[in-house]
Parts: sequence; structure tokens; C-alpha cells
Amino acid sequence: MSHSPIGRRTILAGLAAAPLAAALASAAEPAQAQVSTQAHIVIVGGGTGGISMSNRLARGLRGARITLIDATERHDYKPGFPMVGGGVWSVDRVLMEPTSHHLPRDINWVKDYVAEFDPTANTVVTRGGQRIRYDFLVVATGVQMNWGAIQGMDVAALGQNGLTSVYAGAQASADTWKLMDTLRRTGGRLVTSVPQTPIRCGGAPVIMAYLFDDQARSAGTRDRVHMHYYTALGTLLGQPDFNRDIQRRFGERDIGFSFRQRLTGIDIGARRATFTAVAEGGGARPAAAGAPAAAAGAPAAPAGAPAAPAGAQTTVDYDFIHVVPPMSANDSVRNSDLAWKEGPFAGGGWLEVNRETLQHRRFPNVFGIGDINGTPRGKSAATIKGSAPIVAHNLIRVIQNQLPDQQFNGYSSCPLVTRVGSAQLLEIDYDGNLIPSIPFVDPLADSFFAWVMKDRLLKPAYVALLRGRI
Amino acid sequence: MLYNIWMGINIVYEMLLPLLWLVVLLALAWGLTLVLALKRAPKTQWRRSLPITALFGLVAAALTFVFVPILTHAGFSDLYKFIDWMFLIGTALAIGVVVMVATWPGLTWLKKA
Repeated sequence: MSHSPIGRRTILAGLAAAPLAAALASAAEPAQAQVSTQAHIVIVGGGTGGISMSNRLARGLRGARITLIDATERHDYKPGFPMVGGGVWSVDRVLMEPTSHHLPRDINWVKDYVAEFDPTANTVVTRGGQRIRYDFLVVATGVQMNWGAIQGMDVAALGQNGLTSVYAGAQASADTWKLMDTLRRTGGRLVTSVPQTPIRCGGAPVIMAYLFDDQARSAGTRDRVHMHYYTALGTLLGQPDFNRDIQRRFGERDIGFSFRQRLTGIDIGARRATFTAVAEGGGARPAAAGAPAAAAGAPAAPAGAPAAPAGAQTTVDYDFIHVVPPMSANDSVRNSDLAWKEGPFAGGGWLEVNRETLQHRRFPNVFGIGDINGTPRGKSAATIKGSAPIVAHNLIRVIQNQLPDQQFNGYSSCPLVTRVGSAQLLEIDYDGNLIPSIPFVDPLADSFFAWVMKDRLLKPAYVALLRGRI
Repeated sequence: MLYNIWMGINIVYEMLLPLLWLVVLLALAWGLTLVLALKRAPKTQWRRSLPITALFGLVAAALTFVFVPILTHAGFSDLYKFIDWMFLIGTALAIGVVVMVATWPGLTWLKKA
């Protein structure tokens, strides 16, 4: 009997594959040799951006001392919260390993929060009173939820009396579905509120509205669920093509909507919400033409009717309300010299960074990553995916006394779930231009592929993002 | 494009990581069947086991094609565009090829000369 050893052809095939493997491994960004430095880099915030930066800097620097400051020992997969709240995922799918699982070895982790930034003295001060001096600073503090801006709001009451929000965490998202599941069996009035401030994941409130509608239709009770979407903004989404598309879909699916209505008060026991009309340059914007007639107690302006005068208050009875809280920068940033002092980002106290390099405009040894940045768009995990390699690269250049030379275009993305089994793939830049990254994908078209991305592929990608590999 | 491929590799890696023990076990089993087949099976036996290997791959691809929509709470009515069908067919083909590579040594070894 003759044998068949591994032949030369097999060996040659393996050798041919090796360069391809190497090319793929370096495909994420240009290969950068480790830079030797004794610098002390402090990263404030242990969320998506902070963890990703810690891994990238640990790999890109030799000899540096890296300190991460955050008291939170585990952060969950927030992009999955709407899937839990919409009844698609069980809550365990958004739970993550402890933060320590994702951090590089040899990182100094200070389990506290920063109370004060003193960039002039290159120092941060923790709530526990520890003063930590740095050579370079990465601010990754994310957004602060300002629940207190809604009079009568009580976060502890979420999950009861029809009060819900997927922005309050994994359990609150699970409670959102529990209440929605009840509502779709009993019928009732469902209200969504969106604030005037920038929010994390701008598409999430629309996704919730779509999923609430779809789940009620699946149960055959949609005719008994009256839906109305109140936004303090003048659009349903900032990107114009998607804004038009969402208005069309809301019209087709009998989801009423009103612009320039800000949730300013809530009576949880009575299930009553108070909305205040918001001015836009001296006049409120009328409800969009074609908006369906509102159910009793939900006073959407019919098409063509004059908008409510700014400051006018309207009370709305509901059986179920999904609240999106106003958001801003964390108070420690807002009250510091790092925040924008004037311009459109000053009100929220957002970090004053150059929108291309993400370097602070006045303190060159400071960079920002993620939701904290005062930039035109992009409070999403996808923005961090697009910007983290650029921030790491630019920071390492500054460490070497060089100028930043990579620029970020403001990439942001959201698989906008339109119903269970389908999503649109929204990808935009700072200027709101659609910039699809995958050929043959029409961003406005319903897509099974985009749905599978959201349902199965993005969480593993998120973990790879935390590890700094993509 | 290369970046998207790199991201895809990372996604597959992270999906398999929780099942690392199973992946290692299957890799060892595959390695063992490969060694046994290389030692005992002549070239003609490898060729003769190709049809049955292809059948295994085809069945795996067909099952993938049917079950991926179901496992993602979707249905064939949710596949509208070229990219949707290409994604599903591509995934099914990839699984089919993996199954073929995984089973070829074992089926070769089992096939009588």
C-alpha cells in the first residue's frame, strides 16, 4: 500500500496563504511600531472608548504608565438595550464580563470617579480626594443622563405604572418589554418622548417605536394600541433622507408624531405627561403634513395647523411611556476648563475637541473619545470604532512631539431596526452624508443582512473593539 | 474591503471564543483523522471519498440556508435585496466548505480501499 504524505503542493499553498494572512492582520490600520516613552497617560472613563483606548495604547507604547479611572466594574452592551426593550433579546444577551476581563495587563485601574479636571495643572481629582497628575489625558466619560430635568421623574419607578426607558440600563430595558408585552395584550395609549439635547444612539427611540408597533401587530392588537412620538427636535432623525423615510413609515404604520415638544413633567401615578412647546428661531415648527390624527388625549397638531406657541404646555394621558432623558457631558467635564465655552456644544458642556483630530483645542495633551466629544454627530459605538485608531495614533504622535496627522470624518452608524427580521443600515459622516461602507447596500432599504448584523454580528465586533483589534 | 474582512475574522473569532473548548476538541479530532487518513489512505481513496464529502457539505449548506433566518427571528420574506441573498448563500457555502474540510479525512479513512 502506498502512502500519501503531505505533498509539496500543500506546503506551497500554505506558504502562499501566509502573506495574505499577514496582510489581513495589518488591514485595520497602517502598522505602527511600538513607541518608547516614560509618559503617564490617564484615561478617564472605563466604558467602550476608555477600554478600547487602554488596549490600543498598551500595544502602541513601550514603557508608558497607563492609568484608567472609573468606579464601574462592569458595563453592559448598551447597543443591545433596544433589542431587549423591544422583546427580541433576553436580558442576558446584553450582560458583559467584568471590565477587568477586557483591560490590558499592567494597567493601573483606579476604582473611583473623577470629580474635577484641572488641565492647567495636568491633574485630575477623584471623588475620594486622590490627586492624579498626568502627562497626557484621554477623556472618555460618556454622557450623563439628566433625569432630574423632567419634573416628577423618578428613575426608581421605571418598570412600573407604564413608565419605561431603555436608557436606564439592562434591567430597565427588560422591564420595558415586560410592560410593552402587557400593553399589547390589553391595548392602550403608548407615548415616546425624545429630548432636545444630543443623545447616545440617536436612532434608538425610532427603533423602539418601530419594535413596539411590530410587536403589537404580531399580537394582532395594533388597532388597540395608539402610538404617538413626541420629539423636542424638528426632525425624527438628523439625516435628511432618513428623516423623510421615517416620517413616511410612521405615517404608513399609524404612528403619530409631533415636533418641538419637550417632556418637562410627568405624574407617574396618574400616568400623565406634560410637554412644553419648544421654539426654533422664534417659532415652533408645525407637525409634519400627513401625520395621522391623534388619539384623544394626545394633541398632535393636524397637518396645516399652526404650531403651539413656544412655552405652551400640553398634558397627555398615557398607559405606557418610553422616556429618553436629556443628556449632557458629565458634570466634572462640564464644570471644567475642558468644556466648550461658546458655540452649539457649550450648553451641554461637551469636550472642546478639534473635530478631525479629536485633540483638545486648547490643551494639546488632552484627547477625547466617544460620546463626551463636542462634535456635530456621533454618539455611538460605531463612532468609537471609527475614531479610536485615529485618537490612539494622534496621541502617540503628540507623545513624540509631533503633530496629529490623521483625521476623523465623524463616522457614525446604526442598524435602524424597522421590525423584527429587518433593518436599515445608516452610516453617516459629520455633515450627514450617507457613506455606506459595504457595496450593494442601499441604506434606506429594508435588509435582512443589516438585521443579522444587529442581531448576531455587532456584539462580537463590539468585544473586538474593546480589545482594540478593530 | 480588507478592513471588512479583518473585522469579519474578528467577529468569527469572538463568536467561537466562548466555545473554545469545543473548537479545540474538534480540531484535535480532525487532526487525528487527518494523520490516520494520510498514513493509511492512498491517493485514490481520497478521490473516491470526495462525492460523499461533497454530500455532507451540501447538507450542511442546505441546513444553514434554512436555519439562519429562523435562528435570527426572520424569514425568507425578509430577504429583499441582492446583498441579503448573497449574505445567506455565502454563509451557507462557507459552512458547507468548512464541513467538507472537516469530514474529508475521516470519510477517507473510513472508506474501504
